[in-house]
Amino acid sequence: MNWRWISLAALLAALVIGYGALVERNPAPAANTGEAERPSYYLQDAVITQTAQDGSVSLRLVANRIEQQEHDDSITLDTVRVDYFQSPQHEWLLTAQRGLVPPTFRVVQLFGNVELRPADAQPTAFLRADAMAIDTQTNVAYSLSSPVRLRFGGHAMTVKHFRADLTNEKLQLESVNGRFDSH
Amino acid sequence: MAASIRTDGARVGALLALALLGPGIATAAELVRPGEAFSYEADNVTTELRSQTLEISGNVRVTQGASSIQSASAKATGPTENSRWSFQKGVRIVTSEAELDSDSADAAVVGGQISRARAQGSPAQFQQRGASADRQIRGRAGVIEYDFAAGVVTLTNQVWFSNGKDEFRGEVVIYNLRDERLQINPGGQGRVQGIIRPQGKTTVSPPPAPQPESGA
Repeated sequence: MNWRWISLAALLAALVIGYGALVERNPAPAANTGEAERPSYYLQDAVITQTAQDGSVSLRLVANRIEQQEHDDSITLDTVRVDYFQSPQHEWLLTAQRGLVPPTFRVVQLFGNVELRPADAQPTAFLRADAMAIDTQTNVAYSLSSPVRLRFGGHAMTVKHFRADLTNEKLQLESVNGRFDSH
Repeated sequence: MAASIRTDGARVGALLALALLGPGIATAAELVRPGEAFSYEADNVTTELRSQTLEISGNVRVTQGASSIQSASAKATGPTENSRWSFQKGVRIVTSEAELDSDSADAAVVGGQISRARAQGSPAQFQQRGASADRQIRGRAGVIEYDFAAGVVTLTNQVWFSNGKDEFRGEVVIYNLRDERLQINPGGQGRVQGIIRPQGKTTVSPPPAPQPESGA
């Protein structure tokens, strides 16, 4: 008798769980889809390469997913890596959770655990922030919000703004509150 | 307890147990404890990504535990755990034991801890904290070195030193902030000049700081 009740209860539980999973996999469509951005195309595990006038590679975007937005032709990227060739001999590596590239390709905006480092530098030579923009015309990386928390080698800081000149590799920080942090 | 000073030049090596200091001096120092964060703040910092040398300007303040160093500008070189800091203009070093004011100072960070500082000025000034006004330990010198861990200050180059009542002049003065022992010209370096005042004649004023020479 007990086994019958137990089996019945298990069957009911399985039905409830199964229904729940089905609902999760097929969510109800949004009531208003008119404002949702629709990609004109998207690419999975994609690489986009921008070349300079002389044909050399100036920018390489590698991302798990790349979408071009229909309304403004901007490109959004998920889990992104940027190989930025300031010159053929001077390469910078950037990684981030998300990225946004405008149609002009001039300023690349990166968000979520953004890390910038010279490709040929020691592992300690890096700049990490929550968000960062790279102006590929002036070769300057700068903060997108204020205040901004960043890590720089063994330093952890909160600053009002930062500006990294990629040409001379100098980083300028404003209203700095920092500490040594080896972690 | 009486203190004696030998002023006969070559045999000088005066070691004074300053029992005459009286109560009021903090002997239990609470300086930097291992693991306390080394932090800094400033209006502007410029650095290079590879070398990580920091050029700091505007209201510079470095803090670790109860110790702090302030200045108008500073430069830090080397890895963070073992870096060297150079402070310029209006330098003020404060710990739970002492205060130093100088034109410039160099400080060493060893193992993430502020280890020692070397202050230079015309003159640099030192003052022990925690004493009453009439028993104030003070000193002036061209160079004052402060060992944070040992609690020892070494004053060199035209030293003036006072315990609030008596005063001494020499070329080298070593003062231990914790056991309050004073060495004047150890090793017989020049002559010691001292003024020991009788009880009741207190409150020594430090000599006026030398004025910068005018070009006219």
